[in-house]
Amino acid sequence: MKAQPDLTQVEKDKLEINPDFDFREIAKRPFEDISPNELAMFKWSGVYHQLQPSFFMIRVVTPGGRMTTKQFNRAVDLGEKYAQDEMCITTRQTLQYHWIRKEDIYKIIEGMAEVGITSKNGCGDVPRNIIGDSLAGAGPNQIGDSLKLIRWMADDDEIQNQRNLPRKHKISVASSNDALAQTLMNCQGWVPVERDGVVGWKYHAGGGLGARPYLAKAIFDWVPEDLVMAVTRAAIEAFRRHGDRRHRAHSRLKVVVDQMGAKKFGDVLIDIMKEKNVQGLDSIEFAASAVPNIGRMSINGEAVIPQKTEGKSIVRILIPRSEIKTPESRIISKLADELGGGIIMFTNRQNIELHDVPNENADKLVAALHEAGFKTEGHEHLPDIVACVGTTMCKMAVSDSPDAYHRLYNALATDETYWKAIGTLRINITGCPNNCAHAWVADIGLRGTRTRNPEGGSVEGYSVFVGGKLSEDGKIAEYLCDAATEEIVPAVKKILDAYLANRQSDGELFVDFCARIGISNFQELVASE
Amino acid sequence: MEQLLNQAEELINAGQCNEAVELLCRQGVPQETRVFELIALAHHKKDQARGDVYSAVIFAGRAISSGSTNPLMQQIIDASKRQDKDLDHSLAPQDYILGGWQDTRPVIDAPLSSNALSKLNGKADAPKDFDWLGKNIPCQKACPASTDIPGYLQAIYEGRHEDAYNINLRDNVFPAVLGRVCARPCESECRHGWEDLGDPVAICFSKRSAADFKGQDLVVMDKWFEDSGKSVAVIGSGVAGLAAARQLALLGHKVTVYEKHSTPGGMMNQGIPVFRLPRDLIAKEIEQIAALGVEIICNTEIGKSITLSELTEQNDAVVMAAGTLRPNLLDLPGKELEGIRHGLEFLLDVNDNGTTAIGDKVVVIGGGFTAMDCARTARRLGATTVQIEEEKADQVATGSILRIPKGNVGVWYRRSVDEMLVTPGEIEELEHEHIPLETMVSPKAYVGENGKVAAMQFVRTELGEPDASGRRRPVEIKGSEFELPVDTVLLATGQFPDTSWIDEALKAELVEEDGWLKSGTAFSTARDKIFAAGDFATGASSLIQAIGHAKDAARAVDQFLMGKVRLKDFAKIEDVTDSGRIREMDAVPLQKMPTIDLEKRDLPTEVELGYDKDTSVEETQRCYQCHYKYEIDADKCIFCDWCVKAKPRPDCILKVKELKHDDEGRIVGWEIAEKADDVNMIWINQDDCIRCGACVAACPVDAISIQKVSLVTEPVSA
Ligand SMILES: Cc1cc2nc3c(=O)[nH]c(=O)nc-3n(C[C@H](O)[C@H](O)[C@H](O)COP(=O)(O)OP(=O)(O)OC[C@H]3O[C@@H](n4cnc5c(N)ncnc54)[C@H](O)[C@@H]3O)c2cc1C
Ligand code: SF4
Ligand code: SF4
Ligand code: SF4
Repeated sequence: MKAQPDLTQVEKDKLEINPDFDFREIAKRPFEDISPNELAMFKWSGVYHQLQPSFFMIRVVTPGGRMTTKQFNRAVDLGEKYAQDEMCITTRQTLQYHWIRKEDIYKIIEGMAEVGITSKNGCGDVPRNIIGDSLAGAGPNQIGDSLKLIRWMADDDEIQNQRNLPRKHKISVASSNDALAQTLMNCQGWVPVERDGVVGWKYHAGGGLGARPYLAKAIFDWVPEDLVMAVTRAAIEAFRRHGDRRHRAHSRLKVVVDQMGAKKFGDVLIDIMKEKNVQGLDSIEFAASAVPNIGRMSINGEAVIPQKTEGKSIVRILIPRSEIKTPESRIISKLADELGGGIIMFTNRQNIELHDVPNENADKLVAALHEAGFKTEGHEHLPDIVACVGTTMCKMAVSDSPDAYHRLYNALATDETYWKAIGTLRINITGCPNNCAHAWVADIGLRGTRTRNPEGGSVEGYSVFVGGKLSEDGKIAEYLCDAATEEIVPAVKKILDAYLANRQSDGELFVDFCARIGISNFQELVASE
Repeated sequence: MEQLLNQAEELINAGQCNEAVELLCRQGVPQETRVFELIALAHHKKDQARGDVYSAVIFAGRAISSGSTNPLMQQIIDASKRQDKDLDHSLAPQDYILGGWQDTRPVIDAPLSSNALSKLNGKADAPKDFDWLGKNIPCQKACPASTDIPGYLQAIYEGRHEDAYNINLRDNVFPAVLGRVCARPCESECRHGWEDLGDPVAICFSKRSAADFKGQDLVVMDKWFEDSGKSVAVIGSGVAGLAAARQLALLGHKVTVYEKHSTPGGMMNQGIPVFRLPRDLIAKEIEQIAALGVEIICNTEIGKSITLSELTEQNDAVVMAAGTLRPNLLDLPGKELEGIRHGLEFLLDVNDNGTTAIGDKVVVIGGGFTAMDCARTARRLGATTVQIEEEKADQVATGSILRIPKGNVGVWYRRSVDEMLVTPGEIEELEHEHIPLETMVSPKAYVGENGKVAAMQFVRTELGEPDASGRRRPVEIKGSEFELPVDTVLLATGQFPDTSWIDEALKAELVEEDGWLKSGTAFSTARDKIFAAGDFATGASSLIQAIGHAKDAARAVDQFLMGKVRLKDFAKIEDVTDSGRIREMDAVPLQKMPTIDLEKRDLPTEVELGYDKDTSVEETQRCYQCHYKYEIDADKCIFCDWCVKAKPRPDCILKVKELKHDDEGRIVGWEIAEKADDVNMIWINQDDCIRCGACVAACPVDAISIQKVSLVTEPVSA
């Protein structure tokens, strides 16, 4: 008898270890008595063991990226007390703490629970924080009530109690057909469609970045709103059934959809819903084409955006390197209460927006922010760089992405004329192939690497990818060149200068330039002395 | 608190930085200046990676903002800042050659000294290539005939028993024979038997299954060369003589084998008992050699029918492969008594005549192959029904050992069990067949009665210093003498080459005074036309040792005959995408060899039954397939460490600062890097690799290649 594949250790752990740890008990237990397998399962509660052995990271769950100031204030209090005075905004629109002692994990979890925020499913092989676009509930082009759907999903026991998926599972719900919601890089992506005054949803599946990126395919052109939950649940069930649990590098839904193709995957979903006796399936329309067509990003650097609701505005704040210290957080919160609508929105570019600001307060709010040292200019432009924590705190990282962030920011973002001349440009810096900072879909994506030095040792650096996008049918950025960390500023400058010197017109965006000249021509441009 | 801070500082000074931070955190959330300072200091001191620099900076910052005046804090922050450098070169894509499993490697010289082999693909023959093969395929290295063990185990696993047989046939000439009685030097070296890795693969039993489940047709190999017109005479048709003959035939020479016995096969026929080795198998594998045109002439003793000198005259070369037929008789008081026989002669008698007269109380002296066979044969020759109960009697074969009183045949050996040179499992079989084994006893004298042996006197021994063979020498314990009543003594105390048949004309040139060859274990002798092979040259060894020696001897003969080297060894390198193994195979337990029950054990019935087909697959999947080489492309690799995190072995993937090489370019050692910037390479140490593929699955950029590397011997054309 040939040996049969058995469950991998991770899969066994998922069956054998209850992911809902009692962190009060963990607080008392000596660290040596926590098995590595248990430690790995902490993630299911949003708790990660940090690179620095005495400390943990905690990620909470903020569906849709929205918090009230009451919730935010609690988060700030806890950060001040237990997390060395700081919080981080993640690319999935939520908050993250670092430097937490094992003894304090439960204090954060319980403290946030008191204001209705959980860390359950913060990480792990579960449905992760459900995201959308930061304009949700406010943006001028709203079609569907994405926040409502996100809430449904976040409150749905059947979805949230899926604690043993083959791998992590990511869902996005957009409020309009806008690349802002990152539909194409999520496992499931919902985009609202209006037909004759009725809102239904277009359904995408199979996107995901990581080391081997895939862009989502269009599965259904039309799903009536009352069937959205059934389809979402069916997709998770399909993932459970077909995800490759043996090979973690190939276990996500993106691989399932890629292998099945859009039509077959749609059939599988319909079959699962039939099994569950879901009614009205005839009203679901298969996608006429699997090739998606996502609208281009609707915002482009605005500091203030008028809301759809009369008299209200969105005010946008640039948060450097996603880190906010307690004093700054308190200022933001105070201004959100005094001049805004008491609503804080985290964006997937790791910034903050204040929603429901009465129009008459908008200028005052911006002025107050500037006075407190915040920047409101540069969104979706060079200063708006996304970076993960890199080697500073993550065990998987190769390069120190925050360091690259600061050098690029300090060298290039300070020259306003320069970055304004460039126009829309998203630089994303990710410390390793996991691509937490989404380098695959940025205009310029830097991915950490090291290069062997023939004389001895190795040099930290980045592989540079260009031309990625999440609009239209999407595009995974293509590999341009490598650059050492210490040369990253002149290297990026050289790339940008090549673009400035060779673009067809001032209006040709970087991403369009990349598409027009093609990667090998671009390689030649930067290879010239 | 003060005490704790001091304690933490001490830990930091002692280099136990993680422990210091843990201690500092135990008191509560770090909030005080002094605690911040110490946490910053601890990470600053550790300084192995950017994470340490970062933590130092964070806590130094915390220290300063809470009022620290320690100047080191600002220094830590300042020192962490990296300096921007000007770009004085063009920006180019990363360049690599070896690549990952999805890439195809060119047939070129290896670009880096860190590469495992001298070439990236194709055939390589530098010292480092053979060194790699030897270190990485330990079973093949241990096999004197260099059998491609992973190659044939893989074939069996894939259900290709025929191919497995042919691989064996090519390398060791007698697969069906060796699959039963090989001494298995490979198994003790098998990687699967290394510390913490379980039991070695049952290589030998698997080989047998290849022979058992292949088709029944004779396999006639293709020759390497056309007829050379040269003739070679081989003296002796044991495995050595026949292996040399086959190789020479494949090389295109006309070969005649002369054998003094009535059947060819040497010790396979004359020594090893039928219950371990059925005779039809020997005949068949010899027939495959004859089918290549080798003429085997029996009943012809060189030295009698025809002299060595004459034979040398008539042929272009002569290979002496006459084995070790001169018994080593113990020179003890009473040696002339009746009832004392040499084991070899006893076995030959039984093998030729099917039986021989034997007494009731048999003692076998010795601890090697011959001793085991003498004892087990004697056990099968004794008197009838004594110990079996009535109702069982009819199930028990007439000649079964169960009809014979147990304990009447015993083996007595002067060293310990560890020093015994027998086939693995044979000592267990002795016990199973109720044959007592007494070790650490040395014979002193035969005691006679009426001209017949009546007792044997022994003295107890203890182990002293190792002797020339590396085994510990038995030292007699004074005053421990005792007598054992016996009527038959079988001496399995060794045998030497018999050179008495070499005619006088050549004796002076070829033979020492003590009867051994002057040329020692060498293939060639003082006469350039005369060669020696197998036990005749090396002294008593094993079948596979004799075969390996004879194969090499044949190459020397060919070189002499043709005046050039016509066979060449290579490391053949091939790209593969997958080893076909899954990790669960490593956990499959060693498969037992089924044997017949004691009731059925008589002289002619084979004891071992062989694996059934499924079991052979079950067993062979255990093999790690050491011929696979996992190697990281040092330039494609991005140093992410993910493979290091996934590895199952302590040292299979190393973060090296530097590799050390000898003058021939072989990798002989390494220095591990302590800091991230010092890591020059993430390097697979294939020596510690169990070919699990976890690294390949973990690598996010496909920087790890898989190649199959095999030792091949090929004719060099022109
Ligand atoms: C009882 C016994 C059991 C053994 N069991 C094992 C075992 O289980 N596994 C193992 O690996 N090894 C075993 N061995 C050892 C193994 O048999 C030998 O190492 C091996 O046979 C040596 O091969 P050879 O060809 O060199 O010599 P041999 O097999 O001894 O062949 C020599 C041949 O030369 C012939 N010959 C000698 N002189 C002349 C002459 N003048 N003219 C013509 N022909 C001549 C002989 O008749 C004989 O056929 C055993 C040995 C013995 C004695
Ligand atoms: S595991 Fe297989 S290839 Fe490796 S030493 Fe053992 S038998 Fe040989
Ligand atoms: S295949 Fe890779 S991970 Fe597995 S033992 Fe070998 S080097 Fe280590
Ligand atoms: S896993 Fe990472 S360190 Fe290992 S070979 Fe691949 S790139 Fe290199």
